[in-house]
Amino acid sequence: MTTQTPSAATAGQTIANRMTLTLVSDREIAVTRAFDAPRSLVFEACNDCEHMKNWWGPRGFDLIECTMDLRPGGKYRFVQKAPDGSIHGFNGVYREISAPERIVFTQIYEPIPGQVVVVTTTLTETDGKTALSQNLLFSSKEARDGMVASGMERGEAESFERLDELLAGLLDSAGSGSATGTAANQMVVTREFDAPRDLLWKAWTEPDRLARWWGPPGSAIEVARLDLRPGGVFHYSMKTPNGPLMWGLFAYREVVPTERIVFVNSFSDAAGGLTRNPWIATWPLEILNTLTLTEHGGKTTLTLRGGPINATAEELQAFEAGRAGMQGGFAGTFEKLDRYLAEALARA
Amino acid sequence: MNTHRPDPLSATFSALADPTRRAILARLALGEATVTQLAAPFEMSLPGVSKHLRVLQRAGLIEQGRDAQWRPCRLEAEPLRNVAAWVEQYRRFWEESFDRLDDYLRELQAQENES
Repeated sequence: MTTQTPSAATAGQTIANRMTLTLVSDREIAVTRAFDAPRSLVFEACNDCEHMKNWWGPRGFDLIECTMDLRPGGKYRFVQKAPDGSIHGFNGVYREISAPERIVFTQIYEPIPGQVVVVTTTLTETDGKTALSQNLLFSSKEARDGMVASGMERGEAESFERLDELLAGLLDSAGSGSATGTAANQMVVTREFDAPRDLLWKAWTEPDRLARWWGPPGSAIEVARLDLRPGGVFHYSMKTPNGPLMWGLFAYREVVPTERIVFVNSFSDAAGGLTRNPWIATWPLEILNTLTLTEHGGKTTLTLRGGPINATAEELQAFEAGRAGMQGGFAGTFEKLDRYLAEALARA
Repeated sequence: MNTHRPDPLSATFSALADPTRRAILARLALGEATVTQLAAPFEMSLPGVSKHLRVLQRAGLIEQGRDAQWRPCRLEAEPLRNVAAWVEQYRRFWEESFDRLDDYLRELQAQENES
């Protein structure tokens, strides 16, 4: 992962709910737009076909086909039907995904396959509002000017208005339930395994198997209890070579065999009570995790989303700082961290 | 419930929770800067930026020069390094667990193929 100075520089800037479009260099267009919604929701709405069908494209245009393989190197394709019945295809490849902060992908308008646009989207959240900054890098000035001349500004502005309406709708429906504010503050880890989903499910849910891999190398896990059902717990101790004996707890909330587990993860003690993070007292006591497993062609993608629940303001702050550090590095100040992240990404 | 005492890491984490403050640190990672220079990329008043600088200073993340006219801000690496180390440890927990899971799954599948 690399330094994100450009994204960091936009943080805190006042970006309006009206779209702005700037020609920043001969080959670039910069677009900004703010939304009254938490960042994770904006990220989701921009990177999920179900949501995109409701807003992607100017009014009157329908997204009739949408496929996406949201991981670095993964492909997507969007097909749009214009009001005059004409069909327009777009496709590209994801280059970098740091949900919910930043995503980089290429985009090709299929009638002109030679012209590749690199789109970098950065989302920054302030007080529950999200500023979206998009940088479009074209292969030439001609290509850029052609896009501007095509009426892109109006189309994009309308598309973002539709996104705005969708987000408002989503927030309204969320507000009627028990809103916890966790959506704004989430960490997402994804990883692909060269194994069928059933096997991953067993590795996550059977005590002997969990003890084989959970925790860093050299750590020894003892399973005190594993009761896989909503309301049940996984209570375990972990001994690392140089560290003290620690206890951890998963409290299961939802279990959908082979597909999905929702659990609350906490530091614990021998009796199964909740304890503070031994290094950072203000770290959230409870983190709600959603594990999802999806299989494609014998491989399984694991996605783990985590966010604090029942958190105090200072716990939310600690988590947000940790999340930013985890996903962006602290602005590249620490080469060691960045190098590690780059290696981890290369391995993943 | 809240019986914990504030620890240095908690103070640093709380200062780092704000995107503007992280952006200020990112700017300072390139070299020292005056308050006016730091304020330039943000549509923010000098007092607004100074408020953020005070939080960063209290957390020991930056140091401000004594020279009354110039007073450049400088990054203090130590607390940030501690946070980075902790974050790395946390991330490594997941990465290494998943590496082990990867190995374990390979092993299981190899056994299956043999039998």
